[in-house]
Amino acid sequence: MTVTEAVTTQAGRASRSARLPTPRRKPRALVNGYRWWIPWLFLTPTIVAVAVFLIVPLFAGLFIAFTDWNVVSGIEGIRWVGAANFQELIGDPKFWSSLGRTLFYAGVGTPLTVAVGVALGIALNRPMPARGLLRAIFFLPSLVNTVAAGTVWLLLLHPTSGLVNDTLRAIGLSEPPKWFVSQEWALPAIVLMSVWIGAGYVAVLVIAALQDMPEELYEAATLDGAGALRKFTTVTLPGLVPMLTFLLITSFIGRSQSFGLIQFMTSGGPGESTTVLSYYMYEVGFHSYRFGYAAAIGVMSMLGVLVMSVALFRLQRGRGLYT
Amino acid sequence: MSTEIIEAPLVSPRAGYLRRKRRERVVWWLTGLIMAMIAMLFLTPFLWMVSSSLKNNVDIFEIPLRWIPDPMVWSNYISVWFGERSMVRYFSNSTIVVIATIIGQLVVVTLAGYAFGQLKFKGQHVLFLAFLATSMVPGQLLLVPRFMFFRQIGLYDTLWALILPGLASVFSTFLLRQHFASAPRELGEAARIDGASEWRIFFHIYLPLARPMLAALAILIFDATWNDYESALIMITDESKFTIPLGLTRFMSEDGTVSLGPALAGSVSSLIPVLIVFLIFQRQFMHSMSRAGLR
Amino acid sequence: MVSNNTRISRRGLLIGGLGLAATTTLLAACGPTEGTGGKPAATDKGTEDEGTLVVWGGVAPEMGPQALIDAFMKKYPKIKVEYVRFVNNAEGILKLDTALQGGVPIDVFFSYGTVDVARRSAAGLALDLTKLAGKDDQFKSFVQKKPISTLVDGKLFSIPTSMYPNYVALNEDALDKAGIDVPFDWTIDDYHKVAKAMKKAGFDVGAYNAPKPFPATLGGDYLYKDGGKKSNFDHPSYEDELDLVLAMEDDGSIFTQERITAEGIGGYAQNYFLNGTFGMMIDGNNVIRYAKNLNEYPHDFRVTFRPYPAPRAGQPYFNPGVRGDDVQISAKTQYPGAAWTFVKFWMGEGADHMTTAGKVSPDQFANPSEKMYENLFGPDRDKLFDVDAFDKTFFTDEPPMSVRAITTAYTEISTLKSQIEGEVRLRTKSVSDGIAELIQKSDEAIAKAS
Repeated sequence: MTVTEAVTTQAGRASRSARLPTPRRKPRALVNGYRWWIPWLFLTPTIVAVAVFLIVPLFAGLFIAFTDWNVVSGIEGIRWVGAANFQELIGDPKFWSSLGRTLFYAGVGTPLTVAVGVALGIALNRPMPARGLLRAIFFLPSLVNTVAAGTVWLLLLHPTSGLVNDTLRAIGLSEPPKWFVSQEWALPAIVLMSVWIGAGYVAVLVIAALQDMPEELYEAATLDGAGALRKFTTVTLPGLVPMLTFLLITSFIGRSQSFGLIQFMTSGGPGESTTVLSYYMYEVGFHSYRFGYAAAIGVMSMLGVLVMSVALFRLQRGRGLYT
Repeated sequence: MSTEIIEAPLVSPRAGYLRRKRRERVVWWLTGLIMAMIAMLFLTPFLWMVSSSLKNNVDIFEIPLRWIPDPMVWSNYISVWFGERSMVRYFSNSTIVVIATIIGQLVVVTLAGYAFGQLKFKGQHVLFLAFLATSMVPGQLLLVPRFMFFRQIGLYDTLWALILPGLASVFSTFLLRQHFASAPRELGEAARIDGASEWRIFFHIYLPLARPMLAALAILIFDATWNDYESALIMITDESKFTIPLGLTRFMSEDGTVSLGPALAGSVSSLIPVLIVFLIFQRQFMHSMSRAGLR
Repeated sequence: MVSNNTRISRRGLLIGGLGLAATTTLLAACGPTEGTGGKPAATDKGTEDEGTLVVWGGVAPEMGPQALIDAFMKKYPKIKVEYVRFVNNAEGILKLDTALQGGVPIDVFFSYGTVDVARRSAAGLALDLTKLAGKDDQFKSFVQKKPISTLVDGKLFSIPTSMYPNYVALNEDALDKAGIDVPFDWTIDDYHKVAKAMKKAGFDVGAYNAPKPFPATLGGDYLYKDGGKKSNFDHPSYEDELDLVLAMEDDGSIFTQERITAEGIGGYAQNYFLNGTFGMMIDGNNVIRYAKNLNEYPHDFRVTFRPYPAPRAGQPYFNPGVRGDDVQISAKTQYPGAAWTFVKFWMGEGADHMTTAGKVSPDQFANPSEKMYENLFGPDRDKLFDVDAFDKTFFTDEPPMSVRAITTAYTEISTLKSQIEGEVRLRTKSVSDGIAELIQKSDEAIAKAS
């Protein structure tokens, strides 16, 4: 029974036409002015691509997390072990320490990169000579490949002959950190390097957002007698919040999966000090050939990131300029 | 400043103006200087890269660090570009993959961004969030299953294996969705009343508005795809299909040693196109990222 | 709310449909692939002289394999061979594994290291070559009573194509200038003394690495005792080894771990040797591969060679080097006959081509040819290398090379060992603490893997 029929029968017959016509519900087909399947049509390529290249492998990966598989033994070698991998994970000290390191890397590295990027972005938004070139230079690190960047930074952070420690000693620090050679400083060194890589990227996006900010707000603030700092905290920063949230979340996600850099520079060491979750997953999977266990780590990693992202998102709600 | 024939008395505002202008100029230069110094810090690794690429392998790790190579050799570049297995092949493969990915991704992502941003349909928020969530899947989890899957459907060891997975980018879809969401609805509604088809509305009204954003995205996609190593390593076997990052691995021998000089020459060479693209489209890039109006 | 319900269920249908499609595709993707591993190729589509082969190796084609294959195809015109190079890092190795298991057509492949051989053989990806080798004079030695290479379950699944004894490469010019004489029958203590002398003579550090009494005393399975049930790190020679390394770091005989980590020297040791940072290093034929490349590594000194130093004078010991570059035939090959012909060629006449990359086959080892010398040392042979010393060092059966038979948790134990050794060398852990931790964690890993 269609809607129109239902309405007509319910309301009775002859009397209907005499009264004001009740707002007829549009035929469902054209609720928004177009058929319901139009948006889905637009989404088809995305859905297909995601389903084929993401959902299917994802399900396979999830499945593998409940098995004990070493790939080499083929399909027949897949043995279901239920939650054994996850149980083992919970009791695995290396899992928890890698998790901690990942949180450090992502939780410290991301805000740091974004902060530096914002500072750079604001600075680069001011008039100065060769501004375009300078912007390009800051953006450059995000383009360079791991081998080159990694080798250079190893040399820069060389404990005895590296530029950084030379400078630190020049300004009075007699015992500068040993960076990649020490277990306390290796991960912070990687964080530093990731800031170098990411800050320019953030800066570029921040510049774009700044250029979009309405001038009137600044003028109004000036009229209210706000100094530079005030203007920053009440206009600039809130205006950047949406962009920053986006950046924070995507960077956080990216970092918790980041792996190539660490593999090249420290291979998880010295000792275990740079073994983050993604590297541990790699070790377990590609070195020990325990893909079931590795997949379990992947699942936990995914869940962790999901939780953090939701938290970050909730945190920023209501703090933006336009919300 | 030309000398004024009509000498006006030095009224304070004018003097103040001059003083301010001069101060602004000083600030202009000063800011530039400071930023340039910081930029040098950012630039140092590249300088090292270029410098080392002009050295013989033996000299690269010489301590103390020599910025100007002595001897300066071009042999690394020559062997990389003109030697056996020149990089030309890898460059062309990378270019093909990148262009196809850019075009393909822009098509897919624009359609989806429009649907999420301008059109209304039931469950679009949940679906969008779910889509966002897919970006949280660690790449390594997918690597082995994807490999086996591609084997099954016969796309293994083809450039398609590198192009197709990149089509439904969450990042790009998000940006476009924001962009379309901030475009005025009235345009579409007016057109609808006039009886235009949905496709026309999309293609002729909203798509042109997104052009600057698409240009900006093209740069980002270029950047991301050009340097991709892991998936190429697993998916491509035939050396004639190598992309640049894979091509650089041939300087790694089976015992793990690396011939750094040529590898760096290759890296520097591969950086140049990206740099050029960015420099050219830089203004447009900034311009349209601002239009993203992430609100 | 009829309409709403329908809407939801329509969306639900869509999502459910997607899930269904995903699962079916997944099942299809994971469905049985062509053939199962373990069973030998049922039929031979070709013969010993006819077929199409795909060979996967880790050596770059221009370093020898392509020349070998061209010569092979000339000799056997009815066998077509295609060489595919894979990068010998963890991803590349995995790629080969998945390719083998996933039915990518591969007929012959190389495994670099006992662990890979063991894993692939145990998974049934390699053909059992025991019978074939037993029938063939060229390969009989591999299936004799006392194994000279890795056997899996007592069967031969791989044939090591190269001999890789470890030896010491020294900067002859520096030795001459400093008046240091290095005998051929020297001990580890002598090595230490020479390194100190080299440091005094002006090198940054005397040598790159320290000799290892642990494998030198015990042989191929030095990491294990009780037949592989426990780890062997409580053997006194291991403590000696660690003490030696620390002592050599302290007096500038070798690089400190700090410097190695700080500069990422790992894959570039040859750079430092050839640019005069240190004067000697323990390696194998790879050193020659770089030293002869004057284009990328110009240098003007001559390299001389000495055997691996003995832990104790006069007592028998092992060369820690093993036979390597194991060739294996895929269990799924459709041309086993042609594949075997190829393997024989690689080990036989083809071996000269691989010597460019520093590979010396067992046959060449027994009968070195002029061509082999040419390929191994390149055009500037006498200028760059003390070939006499090389002969005395390399072409000898004493000390015997190591043979690895046990591979239980080998990768995990190796990783633990280098991690903890790194910490000991960085002085963040004492030798005794390090050894204790190593024993405990290795035994755990062995227990888990059994």
